[in-house]
Amino acid sequence: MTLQPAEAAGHVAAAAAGDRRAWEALVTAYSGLIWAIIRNHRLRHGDAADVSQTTWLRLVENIERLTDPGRVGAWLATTARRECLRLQARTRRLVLVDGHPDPASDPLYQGEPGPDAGLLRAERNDEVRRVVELLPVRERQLMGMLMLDPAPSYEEISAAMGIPVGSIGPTRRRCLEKLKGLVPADGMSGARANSS
Amino acid sequence: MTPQTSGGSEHPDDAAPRPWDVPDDPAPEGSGVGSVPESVLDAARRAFDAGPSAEVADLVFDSLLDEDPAGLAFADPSVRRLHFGVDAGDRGARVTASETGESVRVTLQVLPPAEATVEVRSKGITFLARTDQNGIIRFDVLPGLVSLLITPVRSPLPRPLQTAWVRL
Repeated sequence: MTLQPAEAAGHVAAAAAGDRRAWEALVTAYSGLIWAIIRNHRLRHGDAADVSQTTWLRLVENIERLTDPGRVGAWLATTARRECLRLQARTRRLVLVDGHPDPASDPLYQGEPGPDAGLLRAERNDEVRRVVELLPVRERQLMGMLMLDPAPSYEEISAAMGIPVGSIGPTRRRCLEKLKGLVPADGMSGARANSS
Repeated sequence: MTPQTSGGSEHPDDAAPRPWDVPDDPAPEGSGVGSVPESVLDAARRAFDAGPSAEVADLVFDSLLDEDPAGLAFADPSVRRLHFGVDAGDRGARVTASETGESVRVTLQVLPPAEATVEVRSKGITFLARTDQNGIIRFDVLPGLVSLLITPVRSPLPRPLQTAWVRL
């Protein structure tokens, strides 16, 4: 888990009172989750930085008004996801108004590394990454979220991906079963296939 | 209607970044937390310094995502419409934004309609503007994060409002 609810609530209260170190603790705990959400939405790099900053600025302006400070991670995830959808809608509208971007160069179409590539690059084992990339996109995204460090809670993943909390465990188990089937018969060279 | 802007302060590239400045093109990956680019992490830490200086008017409607309660199906789809409001009362702002080349043309209507000064915090520049007597003004900003600090001019007890940060 990133932060226990009581710990998160403590950081929120302290940051609201002006404690910069508490704010930085929140940034450390949740910036990876926010970035993973942004990568999953395949925003252009400049837009990605804007969404990240909008999310944190929204927290600053709401930090004294959060109804449940212990769930600030889910709040941030929901905010980031909604800002991603806003940027995607804006880009779609611009495409409609201004004509189509060049499919050969526009990252919306191709050329961007997959979201999971970014997440999984942090993983030490390239072979694990290659196998996970064989999963369908939503399952890849879920596994990417589960592999984040610090690992988000199921509630935060639910808010990040817009899926019910109750579906995460079964989907995770299903993914792990699939992954077992995808591992080469001779196993992974020197890999620690972490199935926990 | 003529935009009445003054006190513009462009933000030079070599000046210390402001809380709402973000890297134009962060590296796609980084060595920071969870592969977040370090420049994005720095910006997130800086956001702390943007604590609101006035009551925040939340973004309660954005034509990009929300179904228009007024059912304005005839509205120009190339113009984005946003509504900022506070929980209680009718104070707030309506904003329309349309892309004009490399900038965004913004029209602000202060609610309830009244003359106000507006501090426009935007990408690359912060400037002061003054609406007309009906609380309306137009100005251009670069695409990026924007927040408006609105202070009524004639109110005996001016209660400034700050619009939620939004990416225009």
